[in-house]
Amino acid sequence: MRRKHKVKFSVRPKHLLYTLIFLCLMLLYISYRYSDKLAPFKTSIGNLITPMQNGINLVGTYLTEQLELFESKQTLQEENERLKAEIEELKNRNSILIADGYELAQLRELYEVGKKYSDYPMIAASVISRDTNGYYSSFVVNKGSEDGIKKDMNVIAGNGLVGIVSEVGKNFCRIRAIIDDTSYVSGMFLKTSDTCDIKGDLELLDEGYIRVEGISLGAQIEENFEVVTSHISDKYLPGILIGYIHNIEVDSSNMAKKAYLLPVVDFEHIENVLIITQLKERIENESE
Amino acid sequence: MLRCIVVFIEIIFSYLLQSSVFVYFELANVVPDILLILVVSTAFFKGQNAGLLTGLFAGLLMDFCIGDYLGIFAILYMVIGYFNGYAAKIFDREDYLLPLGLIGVSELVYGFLYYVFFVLLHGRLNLFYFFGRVILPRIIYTILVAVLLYKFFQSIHLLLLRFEYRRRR
Repeated sequence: MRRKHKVKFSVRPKHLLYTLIFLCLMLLYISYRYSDKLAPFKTSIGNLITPMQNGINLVGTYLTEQLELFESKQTLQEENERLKAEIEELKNRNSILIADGYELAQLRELYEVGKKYSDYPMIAASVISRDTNGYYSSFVVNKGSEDGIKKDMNVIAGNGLVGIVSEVGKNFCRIRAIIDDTSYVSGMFLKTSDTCDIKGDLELLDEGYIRVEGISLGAQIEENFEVVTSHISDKYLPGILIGYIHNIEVDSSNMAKKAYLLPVVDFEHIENVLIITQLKERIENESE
Repeated sequence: MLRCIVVFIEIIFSYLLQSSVFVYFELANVVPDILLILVVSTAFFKGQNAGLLTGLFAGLLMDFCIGDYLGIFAILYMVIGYFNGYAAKIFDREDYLLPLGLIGVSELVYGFLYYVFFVLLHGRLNLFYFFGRVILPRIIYTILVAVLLYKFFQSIHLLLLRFEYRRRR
């Protein structure tokens, strides 16, 4: 036993080193030359080591988790505050985005209308103030003379007539709605081409109607007929939908029929409108 | 025989420590070279043959686990073990400065050779950048860890010595 030891240690380190370096170089060459065939052999040792490393990693992750728990309370509190502020900010932004989303939907709706009346050039505008008690007989929008708005321009929203521009400022204009007490619109039944006068009436507003007068006795009209702006109106462009007719009855004078008109525009919830930048007179001039 | 087994276990232990534990305690993006500490310590305790054999197996383990081709790490660690074995003649169990110095120098040599074999051959000529970025922090961190681990390996060595001495009697 002892002899063996002596023999073993009698190997001179220099020779051992040279031999082993030579062997290593051989190994290097072999592993380079036949890397594909040696791959399973190589990974087998890794397979032995990996479970141990996994175990250590488990312990390590556990320890780091514990360490993280000890992270100072103050840091966490500061972070918490910061995150809370961030949440508030994000909430704010989110609500703005939601509002934008609604606006977008409305604008898209308006755009549909724009297509319907695509003959007319128009400008979108947002309602910035309303001045009625309950219903918005007139309101102010955020487009004015700077944007090319002129008095008596027609205003539509959704898929129907809203009113007419009654007053123009530099960057705003006031729109008188067709439901206003002073409003007067010359209308026409789309199917029969019979004309009528549409007058705002405060009394009927509570029921959501506008008064319609001046329908000729011989007009073949029925409930729910569509009423549009007529050709003979001097301010309103022709063919804009106003609403649907209801409650048709003969006038007390027996000379005409009268009815109620249900406007297609929801005047209670107007937020965006389209202003038609073409004036009635201009069309007539062009056509002549 | 017992010593062989113990050193073998030490190699695996060192490798695991280096590859799995100290990864969590990276300083300046480097991990201390525990295997090098083991190789240098063993060479310092037992001489050139033991040093180079320990280096061979430690290097082979590295080759198998992280190397592309087998043999490069083996040669590196073997050479380091061999030259550190010269210092075994002046081994003193009370002397801590010499082994730490040896570990530092060895790490410097190792870092340089590693740079030559693995980095320079990839066309990266900027030695000074890599010296400041990798080699130097690694030397410092390795020496810091070696302060503890050298003591640990030494106590194992002394235990083994006592055991062998008893058995021989």
